[in-house]
Amino acid sequence: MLDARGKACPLPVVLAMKELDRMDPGEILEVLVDNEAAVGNLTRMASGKGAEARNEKDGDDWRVFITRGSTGEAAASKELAGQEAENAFCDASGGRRGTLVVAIGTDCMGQGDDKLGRILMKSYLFSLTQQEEIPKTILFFNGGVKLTTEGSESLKDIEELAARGAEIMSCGTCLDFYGLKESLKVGGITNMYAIAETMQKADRLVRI
Amino acid sequence: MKKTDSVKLTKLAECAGCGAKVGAGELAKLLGDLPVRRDENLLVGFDKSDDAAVYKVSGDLAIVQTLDFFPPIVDDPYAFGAIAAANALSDIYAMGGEPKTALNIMAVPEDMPKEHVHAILEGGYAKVAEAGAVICGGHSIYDREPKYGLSVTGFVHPDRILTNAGARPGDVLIYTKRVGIGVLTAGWKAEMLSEESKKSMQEQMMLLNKAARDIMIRFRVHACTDVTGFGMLGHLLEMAEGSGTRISIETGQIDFIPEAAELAKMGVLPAGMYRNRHFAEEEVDPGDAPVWMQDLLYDPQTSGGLMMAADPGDADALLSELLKDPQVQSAQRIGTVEEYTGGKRIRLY
Repeated sequence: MLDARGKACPLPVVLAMKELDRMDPGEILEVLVDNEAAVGNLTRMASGKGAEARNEKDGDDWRVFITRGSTGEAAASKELAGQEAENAFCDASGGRRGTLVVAIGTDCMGQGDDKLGRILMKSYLFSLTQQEEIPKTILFFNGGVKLTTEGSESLKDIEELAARGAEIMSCGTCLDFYGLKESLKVGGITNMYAIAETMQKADRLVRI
Repeated sequence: MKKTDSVKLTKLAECAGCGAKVGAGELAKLLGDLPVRRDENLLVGFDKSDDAAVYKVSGDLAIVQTLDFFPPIVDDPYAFGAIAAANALSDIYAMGGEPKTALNIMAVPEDMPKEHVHAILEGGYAKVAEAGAVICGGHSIYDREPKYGLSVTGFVHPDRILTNAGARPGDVLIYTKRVGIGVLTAGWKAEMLSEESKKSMQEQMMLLNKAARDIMIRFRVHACTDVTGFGMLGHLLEMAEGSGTRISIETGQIDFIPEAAELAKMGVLPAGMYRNRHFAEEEVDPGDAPVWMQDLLYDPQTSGGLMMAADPGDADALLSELLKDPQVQSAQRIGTVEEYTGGKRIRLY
C-alpha cells in the first residue's frame, strides 16, 4: 500500500504512477490519500493508463484501488513513463553525464560527536532534496538503515528524493541485525551483491 | 532574466501562485454577512465579485484599487517577484484602468538570503516600471513561507470602466494568453517539465496585460476580466452571472499549452482545479469536451490573460490589432455571449 497522506498535489499521483509502472498486469495498487483532489488525480491517471480505479472513503481519508491494465497500451505506457523519468533525470543532472550513487553507512555524519553527527546527517539529507541533481540510487547500510526506518527524522526528505526518482535501497542484513525489518518506511530492501554491483557501476560514488 | 542558482523557492510554498487563492464559494460565505456601508461614489465594490474596486473621485476620474499576493510559484526569486507584480497589475488592466501607484506587500523567512529577498523586489520593481507606475512604499513581515505581491491603484474614466457585468448578448469573447499555467506548475513540482517549458511558462506569467489593455480601450468592449485563480470557467461564470447572460465556449478555438494537456491527461493537476470545478460545474454544460479539456478550463491561471466581451462590430478589428502586437501572447476568439433563457450559464461545444 502506498500511504500518500500529508502530501500535497501532485505528489500522490506521481508516487502512484511510479509504483504502478513497477507492477505486473492485473496487480492492484492501493493508495491512501487525505484529500479529494488526490482522488481525482489518481482516477484520471488510471484512466489515462488504461487502468481501472475505484475508491472508498475511510474516515477522513480515501483508499484508491488501481488495477494495473493488462493491455499492450499499459505496457507501452510503462515504457514511455520510464523514458520520461529518464529524460527528467537527464534534465535534472544539468547536462552532467553518468550515474550518481550515494552510499550511507551510518546515521552520524563525520567523526567526533555522535549527537552532532546525527544533526549533520539530517541536514545533509535535507540538503540533497535541495540540489538540482538527485542521485540515481541511495544505498543505506549498517547504521544507515536507521534513517529509512520508523523513528527517523529524515523520512520526509528521503521520501521526497524517492518521489523525484531516486532509488532508495536498505541493506537487508543490516535491517535484520538491528531488528528493523518490520519498521522500514521508505524504499526497498537489497543485498550485498546488489550493493557491490551498484557501487561498481556508479560513475560517481559519494560515501558518507 | 536574472539567474540565482541553487534556490528552490517553490519548496518553501505549500500552494503555488493563484492556486493558493481561497475558493470563490468559500469567499462568498466568508464575506456574506459583513456589513457593507453604502457610498454612492463606490462604483464597484466587493459585492460585485469583480477584479478591483472602483471609486469615483470626480466626473472624469475614478480610482481603481486592488491587492494581490501569493507564495512562490517558480524557483527564481526575480521571476517570482515579476510574476507576482504582473498578476497584481493585471486587475487594474482588467477594469480598463491605468496603474499609477503601487505598494509592496511581502513576507519572508528570517533566514532567507538577503540577495534573494532583494531579487524578488527587483522583479517587482521592473514590472511596475514597465507598467509606467511607481512603487511608493510597502510593508514586510517575517513568515515561514515567503509571499510577495502588490497593492495597486490606477486611474480610469468613470464612463469607461470595464466590469464583468457589462457583457451583452451578441458580444464576442476574446482571450489573450495560452491556457494551462496551473497544470504546468503542478508538472514543475512533479519534476516533469522540460527546461524549455519552464522558461516559456515563466515568461508567460511575467508578461503584462498592458499591451492587450491599451489596444482594448480603443474598441467597443463591453466587459472585461482577467482570468486568474478561479480558472477560465470560474471567471466566465462571474461574467455570465454578473451580466445576466449565457456564455458559449468553442473549445476548439482555445490555445491550450500542449504540455499542459499531456500532464492533465496523466492526472497531474493542482488542487485548485478541483476547488474551481466544485464552485462552477453546476452551471457548466460540458457537452462532448473530454475531461482533460474541462480540467484545463478550471485550472487556476496565475497572471492569466484578459477575457474581453467585444461588440460584434469591433471584434474582428480588435482581434487583428491584438494579433499584430508582439507584446500580446495570444488572441483567440473563444466564444460568444448569449441571452440567458434559464438553465446552465455556460455551454461548451
